[in-house]
Amino acid sequence: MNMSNKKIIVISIILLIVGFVTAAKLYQFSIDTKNQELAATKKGAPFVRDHSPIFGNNKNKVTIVEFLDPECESCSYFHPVVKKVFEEYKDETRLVYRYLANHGNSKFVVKLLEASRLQNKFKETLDVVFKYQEKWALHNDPKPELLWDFLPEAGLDMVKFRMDFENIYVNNLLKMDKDDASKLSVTGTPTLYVNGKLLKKLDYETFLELVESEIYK
Amino acid sequence: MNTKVSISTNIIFLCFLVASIATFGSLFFSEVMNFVPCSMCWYQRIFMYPLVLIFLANLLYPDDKVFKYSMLLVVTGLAFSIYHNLLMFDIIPESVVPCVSGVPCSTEYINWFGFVTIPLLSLISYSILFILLMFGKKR
Repeated sequence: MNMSNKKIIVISIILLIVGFVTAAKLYQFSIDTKNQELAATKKGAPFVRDHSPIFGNNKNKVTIVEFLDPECESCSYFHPVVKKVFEEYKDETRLVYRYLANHGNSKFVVKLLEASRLQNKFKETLDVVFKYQEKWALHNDPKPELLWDFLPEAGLDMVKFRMDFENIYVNNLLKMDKDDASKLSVTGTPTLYVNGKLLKKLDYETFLELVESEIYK
Repeated sequence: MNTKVSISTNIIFLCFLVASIATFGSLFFSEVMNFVPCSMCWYQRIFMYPLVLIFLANLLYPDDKVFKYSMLLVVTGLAFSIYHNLLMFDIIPESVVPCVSGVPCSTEYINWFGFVTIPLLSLISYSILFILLMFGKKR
């Protein structure tokens, strides 16, 4: 094979790779831009909805959105990080939880979480759910009903809680959260946004940096 | 003999481009746009990705046997692709296909101009490869 043919092959390989990387960057950039515009709107939809659990005083207008799944291990693993950063900046920011129920028992646990909101115990309940996730969410043998034994730890009035649980209806809420997730191209959990900016790496430093960069901008 | 290899080289180069675009395209859908590939998609990927390297190896070290090696992969991939498109057009019912990752193989991630879906892009790629290889063989 002669030299000029080799050149063409090498050039085409380079073009293919450069083209792929450029297209990927452009696509990501257009998604980021679109998301930040959406987050900056008054209602903040599709990041924030009226039905979502929202915490914090939000003095600096910084909205942290977490798409989570109570049965997802990475969510459980990352939960303390979110808590720690939010505890530090709960005056400056607000924290919005959205559901992306991807697992078999997610809906059941979302029902528990929503019922706990009627007693203002969402955060405590979420802590308990994640604290004992290893016990109730085993891959080969999930036992979500075990949560009933753990949940008194969240300080719930269990009688009222059981009644609320029976009467609560989460299908619409889950569907809306799921639709919003797909609008934002969110497929996995946890996925976090700060003012529409995607948290690209799930670790404490990156998250803290992103939150602080939005507070002090 | 020399002319034969020379004509084939051009065709193999085209094949290489088609396979590369199909490969990078499918990676774009899954890695950049975060579409989860269904199991049928994985089978078509399995037979498409090695073609890039087979064609590349032949471009760098030409011989006239590349048709045999590549055609096996192309025909197998083409068969999966035809099957998948029959699914998409509802000619075969969905329940026949095992979907391990929970993504139904009839999910439509894209729909350009009302008819271009990802399985159709796959079918087009495999068909072009098939035609190019058949065409190259005759020379």
